[in-house]
Amino acid sequence: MADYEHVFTPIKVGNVNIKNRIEVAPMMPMIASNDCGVGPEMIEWTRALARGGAGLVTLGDTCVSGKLSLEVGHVLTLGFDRAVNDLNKLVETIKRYGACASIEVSYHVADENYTPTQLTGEEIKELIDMYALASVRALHAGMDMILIHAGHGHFISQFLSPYRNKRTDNYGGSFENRARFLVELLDAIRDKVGDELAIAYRISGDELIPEGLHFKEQFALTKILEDRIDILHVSAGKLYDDETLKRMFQPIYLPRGLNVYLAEKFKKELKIPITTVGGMDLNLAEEVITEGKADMVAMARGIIADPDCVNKARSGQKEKIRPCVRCNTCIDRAHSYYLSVRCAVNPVAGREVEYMLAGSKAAVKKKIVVIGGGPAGMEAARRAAKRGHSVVLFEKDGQLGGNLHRAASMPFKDDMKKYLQWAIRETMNAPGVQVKLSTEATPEKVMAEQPDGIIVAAGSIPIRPDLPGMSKDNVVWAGDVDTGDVKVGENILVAGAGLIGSETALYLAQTGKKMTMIDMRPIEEVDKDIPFFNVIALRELLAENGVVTKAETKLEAFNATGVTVKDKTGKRIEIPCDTVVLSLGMKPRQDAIEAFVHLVPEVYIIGDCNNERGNLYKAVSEGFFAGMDV
Amino acid sequence: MNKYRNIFQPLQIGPIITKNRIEVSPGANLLGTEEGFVSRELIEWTKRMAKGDAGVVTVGMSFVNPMEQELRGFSLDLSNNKVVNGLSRLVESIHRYGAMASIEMVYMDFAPPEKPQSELTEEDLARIRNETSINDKIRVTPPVELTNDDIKEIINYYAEAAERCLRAGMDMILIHGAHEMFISQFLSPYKNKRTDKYGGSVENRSRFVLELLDAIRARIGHKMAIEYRLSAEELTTTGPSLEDTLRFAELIQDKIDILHVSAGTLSNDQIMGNVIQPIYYERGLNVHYAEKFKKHLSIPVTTVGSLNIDLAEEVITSGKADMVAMLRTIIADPDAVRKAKYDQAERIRPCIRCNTCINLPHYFFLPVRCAVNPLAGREAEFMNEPYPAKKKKVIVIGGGPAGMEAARTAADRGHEVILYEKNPQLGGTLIMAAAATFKKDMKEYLDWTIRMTTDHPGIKVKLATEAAPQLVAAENPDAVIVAVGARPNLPNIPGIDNEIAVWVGDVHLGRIQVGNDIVIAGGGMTGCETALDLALKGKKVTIIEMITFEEVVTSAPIINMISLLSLLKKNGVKLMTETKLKNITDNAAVVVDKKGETVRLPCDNVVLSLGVNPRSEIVEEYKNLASDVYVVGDCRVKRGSLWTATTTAFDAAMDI
Repeated sequence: MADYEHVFTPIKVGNVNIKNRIEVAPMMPMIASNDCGVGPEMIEWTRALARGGAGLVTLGDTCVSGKLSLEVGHVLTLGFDRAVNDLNKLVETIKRYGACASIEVSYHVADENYTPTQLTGEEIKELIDMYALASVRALHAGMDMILIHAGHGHFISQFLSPYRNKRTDNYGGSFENRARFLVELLDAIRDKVGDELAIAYRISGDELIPEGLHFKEQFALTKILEDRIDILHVSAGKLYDDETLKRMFQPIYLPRGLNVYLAEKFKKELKIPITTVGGMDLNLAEEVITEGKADMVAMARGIIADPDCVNKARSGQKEKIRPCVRCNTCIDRAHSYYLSVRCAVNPVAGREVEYMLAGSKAAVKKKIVVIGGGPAGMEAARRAAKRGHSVVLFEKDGQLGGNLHRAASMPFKDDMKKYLQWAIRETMNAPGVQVKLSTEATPEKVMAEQPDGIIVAAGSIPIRPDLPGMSKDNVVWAGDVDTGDVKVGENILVAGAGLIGSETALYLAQTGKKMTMIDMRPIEEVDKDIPFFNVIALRELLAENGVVTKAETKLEAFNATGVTVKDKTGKRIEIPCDTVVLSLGMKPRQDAIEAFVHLVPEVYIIGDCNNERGNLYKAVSEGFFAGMDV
Repeated sequence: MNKYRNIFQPLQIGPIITKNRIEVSPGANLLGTEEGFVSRELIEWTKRMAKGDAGVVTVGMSFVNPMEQELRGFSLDLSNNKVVNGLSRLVESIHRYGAMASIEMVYMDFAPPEKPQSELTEEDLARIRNETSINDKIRVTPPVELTNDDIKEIINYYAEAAERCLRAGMDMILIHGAHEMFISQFLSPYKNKRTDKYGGSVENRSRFVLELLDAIRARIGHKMAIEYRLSAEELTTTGPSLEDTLRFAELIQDKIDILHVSAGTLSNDQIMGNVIQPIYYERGLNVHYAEKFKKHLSIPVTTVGSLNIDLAEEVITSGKADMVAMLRTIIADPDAVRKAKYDQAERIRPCIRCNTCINLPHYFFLPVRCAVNPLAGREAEFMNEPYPAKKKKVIVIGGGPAGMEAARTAADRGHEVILYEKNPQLGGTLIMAAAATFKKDMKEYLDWTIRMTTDHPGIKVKLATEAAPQLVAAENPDAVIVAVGARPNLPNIPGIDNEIAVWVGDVHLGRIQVGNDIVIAGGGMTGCETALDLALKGKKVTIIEMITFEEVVTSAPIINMISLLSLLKKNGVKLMTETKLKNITDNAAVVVDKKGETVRLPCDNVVLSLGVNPRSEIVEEYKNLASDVYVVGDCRVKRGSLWTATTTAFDAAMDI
């Protein structure tokens, strides 16, 4: 408790007393029903968020228009009267755990050409009415607060923008005119809900693009709105501009809390409380609140990764908090593909209904051998032991972690390093798991344990092509470079521009090497395997650090001065280099599968050992499943 | 060494590799939402099948074209982008267990032929809704009506639907071109009278599907495999010839990755039995077709039709097909494949091919259920059912199918179970239902349920022990399950005591030898099966039944009744409907026929099959013996069936 004294100091927002300073930031988990209703999935998801101890749970992406909600589906809506019944179930679930309930209200049109300029006066009135009606529905559903989303370039925020709002009536032109819609909107809402609902207002403190809204005008706006709202939620960036997406959904490569400075600027000038958001965790939250840079700290991904993180911080178990790795699997699935939320480190996220009994003991206690102590093997071992099984985990190296050591070794992979350390700690300390380090599993050793079930999580090995002129000296595997196990020259070619190759290239470029990266596939094809928000940021960082990337370019041969490649036109080019770093994918350890798959009837093959294109999400999910099924 | 070896060999199908040779074949389950999206029920149903270890799990009957909600009801709508979210959850559930995910794509036009769907009036919709059978609603559109734009539109529906499946992560799609489905009709020269490039020669008649497959491939490339399902023969006079169908398969084989060979049509009641074989038909009756196509083609071939794991091993070993698709075997026991893999084949719960599973969705728009697997279609209801906190003492009275199911379910949940059976063997009424030679599937189920009950370590079976209330009370049980069954309904009509009048059960069990000339009173499934049994033994049989012929057909799963009635006809059994038994004499049954005339039917025996009545008075005796008393099976349900027996029993045991 003492560690997080300021986080756990209550705060009053409007008429709402909130038990602590942590808000579950609004999200789009895509687990409502296709017609935007609330089913058990949505209820159990919300329960996990509220039960974990946050003071305020904000339900995300709720459109005031029923029609627009239905077009997307699987999101919550405030556009129908029936929403009251649905949302009330969520309010009840949130309040059961002593949290306050809030809901993000938006009007999201997926058409970039749709601007405030083209609205008729009648349509402006209708839009305001929709917001007012939505607010009444939120009130009737029992919400404590609503969050008006006017950040990230959302439609209503565009009224303020001279670039998007070219109206010539009293809603366009001067600053006062451009602000008029927002003022009328808030007045209409307040008129309906009075002081019974607190109103939070969400802005981008700066849209961070030349033709965007900047601090100066946003600040001027908030001065006008200050009396009409109860708290200001300060984010950054604009959804339609790819280069600012990283300010909304900060990937692992960026520092945490990078929008705090904006909250602080508003905080200094305004009387109302301020919320900050963006790559926050509990340690940062305590820092921000202590230093008075903001009053509330909103976070979503940290809570998806470990819904109990707030309670753990409160009860002195901060080292047990499972860290978010900011891979953005959660956001990528929902925002890029409209799929339901999933998490790379929390296998239950979005699947709470399916695993309501995940904590219960197995009917029969078994002896389980897990082969391989990477992320999949560790997850499987912990889960099986939690269900009451007796688990022996074989790891051939002197420490747990497997290929995750590579993924966590670069300076910009600090989040991953934290996850790795957490997973190792939790596994080493798990009651019921006996870890045998530096012990290569053999069929004899495994059978000596008399196992009822075997989980093969032996991982993968790098694919190494056989090309003319290739020798041991000039070719290394990316993973060995990352971990510092091999030395490289000054002028380096990375073959394979997937996530591993790109991260290695960035790492080497940041240490001052001259870098070229090639891939035989078109770059869009390569990028499809990586969460969108992360790959954009990664490609930007590569370019900033001078890495030259050549797609549709195939490695053909090695020669005295470098390599020969074939470019997309079929032309052969010589690229001079002193080291070639291979990152051409991984292949499952078939030898391990064959050695163990027939030993007992119950065998599970999981993680990289089971996937040509493995990743942490697959490893952890499959580890969890095996641990549940065994 | 496990006797199932060849079915566990992986198979490459185009771009994918399946871990074994078993495919869960598609079926209408009507577990989707009413808007045509994926529900929790559908996810849990699909997940349960994948968990059982089949190599491919095919999501059934999904429509590529938009359709009025009333018509599509509860089947997936692949024409809507919003379906991708749910599909991806199905895929996730299938992949979770290492199976490949496939989905059956169907184009259906339920509209009456005189106008397009968009112009349907409320009255039209009501009329279509009231025709209760899915099969009746399939529009048999002569392809001649379609314009080239119509054809393009239909092809585009398929291409877009396929792309949505790809986005959801499916590994394969199954194009349903069998059973006289819309797209199959182009190939039939009797239905396709077009004179343009889509009609005439077999190449022309194949063109529509060739273009369809090209359009799909253009969207999905080789990221998904394509399975094409056809009927080798429709077995009617209007279907394409086997020769034409072989040629068609030859033409499409470069465009698909595997061919799925079925037979028959859904739009002819008499042929339905060949598509969805009832218990009276041979198993694996379409395998010879698959074998023929396999010899003719260079791509792998799937066989389907009443296959089980033993037959699958035989088919794969003999090289007659490469994949074996089965649905009902898997519904009856989702773990069938897994049990075969772990050398526990004797534990596989056999499907009895009663077609309850098909009957409910196809004829009544109801969700799938199963007579022997009480969880089928209800997985979501029980998914988070906790294990009982307290071990209880449970007494089950009666060792018929309900009593045995209740005993096993309670014992599986950790309770201590004592089962009383007054006869020296378990089985109850099921022994009678399994007696006829053509009830082999039922006999297998009977043997299975007795074996599983007797061998269960948590159940103490007391045979030849009447469960007197004092005896039960002395055990001091926490819960009592009463499963004492029913007794024959013997109405009070003149002559019922005559010695030529016998109860159907006694005939079935061979306790009474009947003469050669038989009248059976009661044309329900039991009466009809008895009639068939006796006719097959050379007797002359007449059935009399009070209700109408249509009511007889729908009194049990329709496919089975239709097949049974045709078998009766074939074997010379006379069925008199709307006919009432008036009295029985020493040598005849006197009846009042549908015209109201009294008719004397001379015979050696009158076999009474007039239904049964719950033994309610016995139930009363047990009512106060424990704090929890449950009544299950035939002593609870008026017109009991195996389905109601196992389901009421399972539900009761889950409540303890």
